[in-house]
Amino acid sequence: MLAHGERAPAQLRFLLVDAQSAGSALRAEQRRAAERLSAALHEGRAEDEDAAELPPNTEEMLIAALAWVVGCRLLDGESPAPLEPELVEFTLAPYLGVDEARRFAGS
Amino acid sequence: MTSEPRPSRFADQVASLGLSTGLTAPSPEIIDEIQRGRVVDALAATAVEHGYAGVTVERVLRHAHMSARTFYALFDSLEDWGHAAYRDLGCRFQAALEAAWRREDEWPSAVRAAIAAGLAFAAKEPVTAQFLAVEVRAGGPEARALQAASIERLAAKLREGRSRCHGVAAPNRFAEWVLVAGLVSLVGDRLLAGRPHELPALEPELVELALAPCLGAEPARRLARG
Repeated sequence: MLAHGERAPAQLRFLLVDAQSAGSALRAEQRRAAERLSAALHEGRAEDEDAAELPPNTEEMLIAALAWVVGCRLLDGESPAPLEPELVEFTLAPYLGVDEARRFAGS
Repeated sequence: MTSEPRPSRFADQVASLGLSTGLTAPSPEIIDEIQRGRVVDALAATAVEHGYAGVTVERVLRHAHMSARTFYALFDSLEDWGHAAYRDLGCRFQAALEAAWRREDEWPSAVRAAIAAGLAFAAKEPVTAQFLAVEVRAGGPEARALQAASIERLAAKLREGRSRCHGVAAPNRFAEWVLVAGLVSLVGDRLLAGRPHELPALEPELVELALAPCLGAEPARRLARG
């Protein structure tokens, strides 16, 4: 996602931000994309006993948070790429714990 | 024996608003405040209906049943008015959260109370909440900066809990900011989907998500579900 934002920031901005207020059809499309990403993250629940008991909307919240932060950077005309380590850590922490997520993210 | 006349509760309430019981007209300042409130509410409703880009003076005035003359006496421009709307409505939301926060002594209970208050506010005033959470992002850099500042105020409240991260690695420098943005966005999605009534039921989950980075998964779960 971040690499795509580097290559085509306007496109990513459209997907993450503008589509939200562009009518119900585009919003539904955006929701389906978020659900696919949520399903991929959901697999992380198998990594740890605690992760298996995470609240049901955890993945939706994580995807929404990433989209929000990356969207904000793009709206401000800044590259979201430098945030990669922190965003990876934030996304993995519920599944691996902060220490392991940080090690993996290299942040 | 004569008794003192008891003051009417209604008269007290009216007086506390700076109004009278009908003998004198409200002051021009009070009328301006009421008109301003009408415009602000109408702006939020128009942005939710047409998107922020679709907000025009004509549409808002139609919503507010107000003349252009009255509007321009209150605001210099559409932009000025958009920011005023965010500030006014944002203050209303923030006040609800802070009142709930102050009623609690312990940080985890305060987090839970503030989240419950935020969800209740959004369920009760879905148009205002959708304006604050979603539509304002299309309102230009200054509107987004106001929204970012609101998120930062909430993130700072969560950050207070870092002193409780005993035995749990502290999250990275902007984890709370991202977390609040995620929670706001989750609420915004429910509002966009026209499901504000589902929001109060999200409380235990959101509390758990908010507390877990500082308290650890299990204590956060216990507190959120207890």
